[in-house]
This record gives sequence, C-alpha cells and structure tokens, in this order.
Amino acid sequence: MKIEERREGRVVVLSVEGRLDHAGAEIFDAHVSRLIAADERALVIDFHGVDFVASMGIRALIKPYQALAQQGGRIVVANLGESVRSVFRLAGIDQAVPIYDSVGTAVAALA
Amino acid sequence: MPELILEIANDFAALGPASDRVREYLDGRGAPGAAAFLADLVIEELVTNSIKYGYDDAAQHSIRVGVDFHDDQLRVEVCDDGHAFNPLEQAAPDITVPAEERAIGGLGIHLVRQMTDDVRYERRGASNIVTATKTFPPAAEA
Repeated sequence: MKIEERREGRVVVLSVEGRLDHAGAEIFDAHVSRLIAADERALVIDFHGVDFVASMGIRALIKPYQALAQQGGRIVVANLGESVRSVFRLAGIDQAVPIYDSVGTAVAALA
Repeated sequence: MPELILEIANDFAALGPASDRVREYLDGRGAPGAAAFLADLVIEELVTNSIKYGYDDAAQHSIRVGVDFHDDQLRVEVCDDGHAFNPLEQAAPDITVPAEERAIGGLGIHLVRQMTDDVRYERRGASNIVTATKTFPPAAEA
C-alpha cells in the first residue's frame, strides 16, 4: 500500500495504490487520521491504483467519513474500478460517500 | 479435494502472499478477473474472521485455504481448528442506515454472502469449514 498526498487549494488528494485489505486499511486509517487531526476538512481519495478492497477497507473509509461529517468536513472518492465499485455498492457505502469519475470533478465538488 | 491448498498462519501478514498464490493459480486456470477478485475477498474475510474470533489462545495456528476453479465454478474453502464458530450466524449489518450512524461489524460476511452463490458452514471434528461457491458465465465466444 502506497499513499501519495498532494494539495489543491483547501482540498487534499490522496492517491492510493495497492490493496485496501486488513494491512492496507491500517496504513490508510493512520494517514487519514493524521490529516483530520491536522484540521484538514476536505479529502479526495483517488482509487485509481486500488485493485482490491475488503470490509476492513470499507470500514477505514466509513470511520473518517463519520468523523468529518460531525466536523463539517467531507471525504469523497474517485476513479473506482468495476470490482471495487461493486463492493462499495454491496456494502451500501455508495449511498453515503460521494463517488466521482475523476479526481478533477471530485476536487471541484469540494473546492 | 481442492486443487490448490495453502496452509497459512493465523497472522494477517500471511494474507498478502496467500492472495498472490491464489491469483497465480486462477490465472493459470484461465479464470476471469472477477473470480480472482472474489477468491481474494472470500479468503480475506473468512481468514480475518478466523484470526479475530476463532482462537482462545495466543498460540500459532494453521488455517487451511483451498481453492478450485473448474467448469466455470469457483470454490473457496477455509478450514481452521479454532472453537466452534459459525460466521454465517452473525447478524447482517443494516446497510440502509446512513453511513454516519452505521454500526461497524458483520460487513465482511455480508459481502461474502452477497457476492457468492452459496456459502455453507460445517463443524467437522475439531475443525470449522466454510465453503463458498460461485459460477461465472463462460466468456463469450467470438
């Protein structure tokens, strides 16, 4: 699991690469928790490089989603592959966390 | 007997290498990408369940993972020697609750149930065996 971070205005974009499994979810959770603790309130997660997601990965996304919702912040995702998207749908998380086709439209939605 | 059998430790670090072996096997069998993804998911969720809830001691245990792909059907079997535990009895999460209020738990087995055709649990001797199957439509002929 590799995470690259960059900033576009007030929006932080995280490009995630690898597996969002048990081990990947821990790395992701630590990274996002650090950003929220540093008062970042607008996060875009780019899933382009994510080829696998399990329930731990979904939880690692729901947790900051809940934390940010309470603080007036937002987290959105972009670039989901077909299999990853079907896991989002079956977990029901696609009804909550906004999904965008590209990082550009995701950033624009948060800016 | 499943064609591929892996003995893995009850350690989350064992999941990555196991996934590589399973993908290699399924690629060799000409299975579709969706079958490799599903096998990965089923193993991840079932083995995670075994590691988290199956054992009453801190000793190292071996979990047997079997994978088979024949006649367009994927079969994944996970067998542990933990105490009797039927993951299928876990309550399904209420995914209609808004994510802000969602309780976290039971999601893994919910995904396995939703994405496969059949999942069954069996207690055989001192072993828990969970078997999931899914048939994939054959690739369209050109």
